[in-house]
Amino acid sequence: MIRPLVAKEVRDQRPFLWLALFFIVVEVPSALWLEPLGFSPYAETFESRFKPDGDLSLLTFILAFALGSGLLVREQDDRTLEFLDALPTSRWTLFWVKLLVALATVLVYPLGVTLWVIGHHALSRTSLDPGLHLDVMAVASVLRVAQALTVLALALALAPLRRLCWTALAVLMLGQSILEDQVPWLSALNPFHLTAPEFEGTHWRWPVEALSLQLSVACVLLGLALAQFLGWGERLTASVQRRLRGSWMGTLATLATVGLFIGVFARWAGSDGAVEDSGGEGPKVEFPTAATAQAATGHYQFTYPASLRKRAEPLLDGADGVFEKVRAFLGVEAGDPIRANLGGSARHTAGTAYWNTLRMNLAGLSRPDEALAVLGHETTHVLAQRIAGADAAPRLTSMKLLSEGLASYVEYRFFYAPGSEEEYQLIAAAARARREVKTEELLDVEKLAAERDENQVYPLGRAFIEVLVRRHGDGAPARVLAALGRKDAPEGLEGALAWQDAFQTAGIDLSQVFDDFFAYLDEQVERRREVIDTLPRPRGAVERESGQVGIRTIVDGKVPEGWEVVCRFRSDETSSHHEFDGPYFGTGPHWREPSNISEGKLWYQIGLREPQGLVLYEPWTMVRVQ
Amino acid sequence: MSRALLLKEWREHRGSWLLLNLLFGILLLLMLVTEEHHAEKGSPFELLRVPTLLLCSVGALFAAHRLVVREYGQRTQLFLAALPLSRTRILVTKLVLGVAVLLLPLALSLLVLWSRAREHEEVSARFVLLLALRAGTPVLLGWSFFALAGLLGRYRNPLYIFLVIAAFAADHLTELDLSKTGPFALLGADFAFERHRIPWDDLFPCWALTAAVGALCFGLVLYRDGTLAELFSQRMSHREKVFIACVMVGLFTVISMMDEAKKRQPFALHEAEKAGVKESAVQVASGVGFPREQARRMAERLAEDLLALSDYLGLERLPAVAVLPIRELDADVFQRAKLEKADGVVVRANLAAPDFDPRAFEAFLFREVLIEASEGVVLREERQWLLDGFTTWWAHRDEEERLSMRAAVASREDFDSRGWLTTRERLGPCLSGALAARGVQVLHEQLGEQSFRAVMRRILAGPPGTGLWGLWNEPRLASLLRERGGSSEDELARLWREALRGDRETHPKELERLAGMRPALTLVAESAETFRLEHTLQTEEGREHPARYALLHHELKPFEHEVAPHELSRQDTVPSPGGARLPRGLARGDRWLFVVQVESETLGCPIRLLAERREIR
Repeated sequence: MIRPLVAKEVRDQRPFLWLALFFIVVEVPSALWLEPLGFSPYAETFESRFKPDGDLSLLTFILAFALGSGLLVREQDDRTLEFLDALPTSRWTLFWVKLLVALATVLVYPLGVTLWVIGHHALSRTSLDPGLHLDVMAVASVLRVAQALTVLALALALAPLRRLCWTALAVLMLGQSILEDQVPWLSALNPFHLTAPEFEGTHWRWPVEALSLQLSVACVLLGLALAQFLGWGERLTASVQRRLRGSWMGTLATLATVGLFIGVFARWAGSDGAVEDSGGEGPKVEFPTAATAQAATGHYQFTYPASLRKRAEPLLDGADGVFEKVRAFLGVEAGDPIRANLGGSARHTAGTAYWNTLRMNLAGLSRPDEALAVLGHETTHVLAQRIAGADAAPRLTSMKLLSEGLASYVEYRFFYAPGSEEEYQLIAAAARARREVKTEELLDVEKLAAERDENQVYPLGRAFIEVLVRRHGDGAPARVLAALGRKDAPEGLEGALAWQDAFQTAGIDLSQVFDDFFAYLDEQVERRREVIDTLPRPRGAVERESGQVGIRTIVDGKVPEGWEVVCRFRSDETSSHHEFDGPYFGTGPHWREPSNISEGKLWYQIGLREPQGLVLYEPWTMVRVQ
Repeated sequence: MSRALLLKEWREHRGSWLLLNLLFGILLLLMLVTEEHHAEKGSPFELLRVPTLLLCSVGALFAAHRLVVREYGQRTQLFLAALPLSRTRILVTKLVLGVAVLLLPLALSLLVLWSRAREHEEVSARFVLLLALRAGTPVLLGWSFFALAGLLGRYRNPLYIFLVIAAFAADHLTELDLSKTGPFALLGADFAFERHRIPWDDLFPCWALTAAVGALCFGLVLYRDGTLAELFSQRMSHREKVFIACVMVGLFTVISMMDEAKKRQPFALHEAEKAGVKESAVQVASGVGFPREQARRMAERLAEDLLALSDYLGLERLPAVAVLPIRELDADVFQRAKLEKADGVVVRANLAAPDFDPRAFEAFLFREVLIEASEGVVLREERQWLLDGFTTWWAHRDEEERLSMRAAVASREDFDSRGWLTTRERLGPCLSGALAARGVQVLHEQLGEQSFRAVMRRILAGPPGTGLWGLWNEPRLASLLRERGGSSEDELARLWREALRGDRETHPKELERLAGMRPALTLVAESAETFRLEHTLQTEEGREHPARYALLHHELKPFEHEVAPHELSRQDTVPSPGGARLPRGLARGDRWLFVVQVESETLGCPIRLLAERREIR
């Protein structure tokens, strides 16, 4: 009886099989016909194929869930189950036949593509990597089977919800992603992470914990689906199904869908405040909020806490002077007054700029000249955005070397005494001396942040603008900004191309500016060689104690007086600097709770903090501590 | 509009709408509670973007589902059609009701935020009107779109997917930037900050689109007494689903292929010195220590050499070539840029460095030009030595003595020309180029000028083939040698090694110096998971120490690939008995490439003493 059942299932699931084969046919024959063969070794293809959000994982997930969500309930809805019941076979057998045929159907695409990847590598292998790495591919395939089974089991368990099952899936996925942020350990439950390549040397480490957990969950879900299919608690199920067809279903769908988006918002809202809220269980002291004061000058409309009136006075007096200096340098019309809120700024910043608006943390600025300098810095951002225009403002903000460099340059040139940029120059020169100033990282701040330190754009950007102004005059930055915001600018340019386009249109040779920039840094290196040579290169060593993992800093040599060793952590390569934990001062060890470590990877960065507070960081390091 | 219809819709959907408003009320409350966290956004009105986005997407989808999809999906529109009401009236009632349902929470959110903001700052009526226009317009557009999609019944999900693919196509195949268009521009970065300028350029297209979509809705409902909308509302079969999935995937694939095949412009460098070569141009930019005059001379020389090279190899077309000076790189490191939306070979080098070697640079540039011209096919490993050798030989035609000396040093250990990437990693680009050039010289001598030229044309400048057919037809050295009546590859290898032995006998001094150098790398555990690397360079007693050596290092990915010279980080060290430490910690399980090299003034290039791929354990 098994063979006819299998044949019937294969026939039923044929559309999915055709779909999987279609996906393969779209890819493989086109490559065999159109691409130069033999140039796709694993080094080129593996990461893009097998990453958690790669096409293999995504299509396996979609195919498995789409197939699973109709596998059992379609027989019930179409009343064909009654015909099957008349056959000399049990529902138990039916269930397993359906499940196994579905699993095989789902796996056609991922395993087919895996075979294609192996074949392509066989044609492309070089003397540097002659092996086929079948052990790695075997692990990948076994994990893919486990992933498909888990998703199928989830789909079968949610299928009785009928049209709500995709919504339920979305809610589950969102919940999972929210919880994963709070408790990184929960990523072990994510089917996408199951097949994420985790290498130690050239071996793919078995994700034992995730695999056992997900297979256990899959067993439970399959048990639920089986119970429902066998008709256990049929009356209960029938009553639930009747209710599911009721008018309140729409209401539930509303709740689930809109609640889902509110969840997203809550996550977005909560993400920024996480660190401040972790104040522990100590006594909470809350003072009344100070009243708000407002003042208008020729070019600003200020709002500030009334309690800071004394501190605000020099700033209000000097504000229009600041505006005029920046305006004259950038050669821009005065325009509408800028709204300036002095009640606070983004974390770890003295000020933040927006479209025609700026915010400053006046309470954190004790010296009047410092407050005027910060106002000058943020005013530069606002006026630069006006030159570029509202459409180009986000692009300008992403070109941090230009935007922050320009603001820092204006700040130091016009609002501080000559020579006060010394610490900026030292940090820039030290980075250059260590061969850590790379153009591609400067033009792509995400790369810079992932590899080193996003804040390097301040000292390096200031130096960049200085050489730009030296060669092309004070008007050069404004020309670049105007070029960036011109109406006929090509769309979709990012990174180096956006830079190239803006500078080229402004009539400035970007490569020449970079050439000047490196020459300037080399000069600074020579001038500060003695200090730079005395700076040690700290590194970290892992320590363990009572289930905790910590990083102890090792320093070969002596830390110069006034400098300090710092260490900070991040959860993964894509974390933004707002999410970093630290910096912690001293050589440590600085301990981490296991629940704060995601997927057994501990990311840390050691640095040296100079007396003024700028930090010279070493590159980020990742240690496997599972 | 019809009062009876309004009452019917109210009775049917009141629970859901109350819940929708309740949820938006909670959302608003949540926004106000967490207002302090959002102070970083710069304006309280930034918060209005959230309900706007929700209402124009999920809110509109929900309203369309309740008012349109449900009616048609459950076929209750047939009952409505039987009533003494026109279809136009039914649709107008539904559309107006949808607008009211969606704009109510938006208006409430705006009012609450306005009242909060007024406590801190002056908010003009113009600004509020501006916000209302910028937030309300996308919501209206979203609603009209989802209402139309609802009337399309079973084709609404394919429509959503189609629109995503269309957006992808617009992004990749045209110059249109969606993020600066229509509703996206209205909700752009200046949404909560622009207080004066009314964005008519974005508002008018949105209103026109809303009207057009609304007209389509009426068209669908009125066409043939609504039978079309009724047909669309029927369930989709399994086969139809798969067919549509295949069409969508096919469409996506075609767009991706069109994107790849899109003709790109040759790369143009502004303010560079230019020299024409065939239909293309060599562009060289000036820089610090590299004045325009020097750049012009270099452009002319490169153009001349490239023309000669292309004539020799019979290349019909040459890519655009751009050379940028950059002080960031060491004099012996050259870098090629990856280009997007342009074609050509863009390279950079430290052209102003005193030890910049123009010959080595030319060899590198010619190699990249041939790679570009062949679409990468010349990189096949078993024949890559011919590419390296030919370009090095071509650039050093009048410097054979220096090549011979480099080849002598490069051949101090045996090599496998078919495993060329390993050889090149062990020797570095300079010495491996010299080694290969010696092989090319031998081939030249063996075949004679005419045959050699024909063989090189086939191997380096043949038309690039694709797919299995291209692979099958790729020229093989062995068969080309047979065709030309030359000897076998083994014979060529033997003659090559003999020539190298001759080189070694002619230049024994440098070899002796190198023979006494012993580089060593030691991993020292600093904890169970972290290590430090200690490295030394010892010399035999009585031999001269090099002034300094360099440790190059690069973290490797799990699968082996060639590491380009510019990817290697570097630590310059003065040899000392105690050795030196790499200034970074190494983690267990990572893999690194370590290279120890010394500079040689005689050879004019670095000599790699050790190149090792090592797993940290």
